[in-house]
Amino acid sequence: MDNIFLALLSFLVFPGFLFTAVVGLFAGWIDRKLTARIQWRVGPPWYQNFIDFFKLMGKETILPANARKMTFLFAPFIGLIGATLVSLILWQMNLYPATSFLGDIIVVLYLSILPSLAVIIGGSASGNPLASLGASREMKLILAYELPFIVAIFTPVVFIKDIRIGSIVTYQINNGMMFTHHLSSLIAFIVAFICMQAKLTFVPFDIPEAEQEIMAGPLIEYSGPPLAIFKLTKAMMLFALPVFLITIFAGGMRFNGIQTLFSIIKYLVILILIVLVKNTNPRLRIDQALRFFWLRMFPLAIIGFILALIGI
Amino acid sequence: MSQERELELYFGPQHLGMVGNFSITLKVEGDKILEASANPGWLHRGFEKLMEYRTWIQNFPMVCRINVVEPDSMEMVYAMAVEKLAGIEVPERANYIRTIVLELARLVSHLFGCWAYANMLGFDTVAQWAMYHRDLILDLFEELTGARVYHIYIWPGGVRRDLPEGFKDKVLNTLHTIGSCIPDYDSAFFNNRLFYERAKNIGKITREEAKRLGATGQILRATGVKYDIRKIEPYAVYDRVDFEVPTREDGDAYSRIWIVRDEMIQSVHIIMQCFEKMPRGEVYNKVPNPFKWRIPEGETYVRVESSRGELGLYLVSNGEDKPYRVHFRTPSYPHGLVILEKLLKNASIADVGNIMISLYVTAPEIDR
Repeated sequence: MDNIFLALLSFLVFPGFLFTAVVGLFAGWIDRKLTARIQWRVGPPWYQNFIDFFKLMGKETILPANARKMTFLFAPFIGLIGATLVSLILWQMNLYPATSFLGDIIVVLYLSILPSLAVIIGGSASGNPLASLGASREMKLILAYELPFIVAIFTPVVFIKDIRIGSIVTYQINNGMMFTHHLSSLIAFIVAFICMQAKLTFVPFDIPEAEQEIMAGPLIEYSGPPLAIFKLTKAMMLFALPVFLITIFAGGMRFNGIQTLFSIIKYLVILILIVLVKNTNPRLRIDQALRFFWLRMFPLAIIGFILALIGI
Repeated sequence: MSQERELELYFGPQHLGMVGNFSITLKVEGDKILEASANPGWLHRGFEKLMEYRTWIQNFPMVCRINVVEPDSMEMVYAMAVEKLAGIEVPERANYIRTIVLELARLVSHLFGCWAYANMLGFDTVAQWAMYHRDLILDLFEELTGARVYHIYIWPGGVRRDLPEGFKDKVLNTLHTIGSCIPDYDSAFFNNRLFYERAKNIGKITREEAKRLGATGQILRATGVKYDIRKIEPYAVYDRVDFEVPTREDGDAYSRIWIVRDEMIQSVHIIMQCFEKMPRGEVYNKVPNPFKWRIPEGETYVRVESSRGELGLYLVSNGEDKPYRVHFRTPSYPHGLVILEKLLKNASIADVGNIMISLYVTAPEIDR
């Protein structure tokens, strides 16, 4: 009984849903504030993302006449569950590396696709031509970035010859960060970082949600609480994915003494890099994105992979 | 089978990517556009007819509202036509002030164009910069004319009033602020690799086609033709200032936005020269009582170089206190209807806004 309660607590409060949501929304504020400063604007106050979320929760949900209603309404929750589980597993492995199980890295990789999948499902179920266009773009984008991303994430796995997140973290605690000590991991880190930009659908890869082209694409028919859930999922992924990268490549998140500060700085640096890339580039076309990931990023990831096999 | 695969998409008037009340109906198959038809009729206000019912001076608040982005060239072309019909001379100083105002308006319009283009590509940083700089020039206009967008400053017989005290320094200061950001714009926007990928070879038009379809302005200059009314048929003081007409050879969206950038620099040079050469004196030759002002019978066609291309006005007077017929030749008409529909064929959906903005389509002036 106690165990079930603890498991529920860790899923719902820490390090699961509530913790990820609060930090994610706060990270969303950092993104907005930094963007505003780059664009010579003032930017919103720190609680803006929270009141945005609660405002949307109180709004009316409009169901389009020709939508598949159940699928349309449940799609956001699929994404939310995926984002929560990704964050939960990552934090569990970071805080208690010993609890790591065989192949958890594969589980995280698969679960991290769920938010994008939810967008596709919800968009297709809404019955709007622009939403289906956006959903098809999202599908193409997943096809484009997922392959180099997986290859890049598996580079340290091949190097250490252990497929547990816990052992990657332990290895880094003993031997220093992956990406500063090994060339293969540095290359893989760069590839994974750019793929993450696409996974978060930020500029230059915000192709599925291009407002000026297809008007937010799959989200066009969403309103009220379902839209709030989608926004929340996106905010949670903005927290979970950089943590994933830090866990694999940059020594993990640790919370003892000076390491606490160091962990927060690592996350902030990656967040700022994401925002800078987002704000200094225009959007690409989907065919250009596909070509970029397959012809540039994939060979680069393969090079890193081979270097890891050799042991550099 | 192929009939079922076709989809009708509406790009505007309710669309985030659309600037102004304008719409394009697209027939698409997959990501490819089979056919596009533009509809500018959402903003028809019947200005040309309305102007036949108002006196020569009463028409000024109308004429500037035909184009929201750059109203000054509209005022200029109307004032020139009235002056030509009535035989009014313009004082030398007024001509210089007119040139300064027109070039400032060109800067406003071009910065607005940069905003629209960057915003269309999801590049909000440069968009916000351009909007900020545009606002600085609007502040200058507010001081000079009392209004930010619709100035009604250029007038038959000159300009409404002389430059305020210390205006020159303010203009030069603002231009210096904007000019010092040109390297930032260059590295962030015009030379950006991803922007190049996005704009190069998009909306390409050949020189012969551009000439045949009535293109002017950047679209014609991007194909390598040095066509600029300021050089061919100088008005105001454009024959007394030294400036270049930037051209490019490729005729695509990337060339057009680079011409916009180069023209902004030329505009700054023109403004500087005007301030140097400007004589003292009157800025306004008195016109008769506007309520009793009858202009002798006649007809005229005048043209100016607006920020988007050749802007012409055909004005007929039958000796009354009101115009008999007013007709504008606006640059967006051929650009926004004929050329846009032609370039959109076989383009991808992602490039609709891209092509539209690169043609500098200003919806209000298509259907007056």
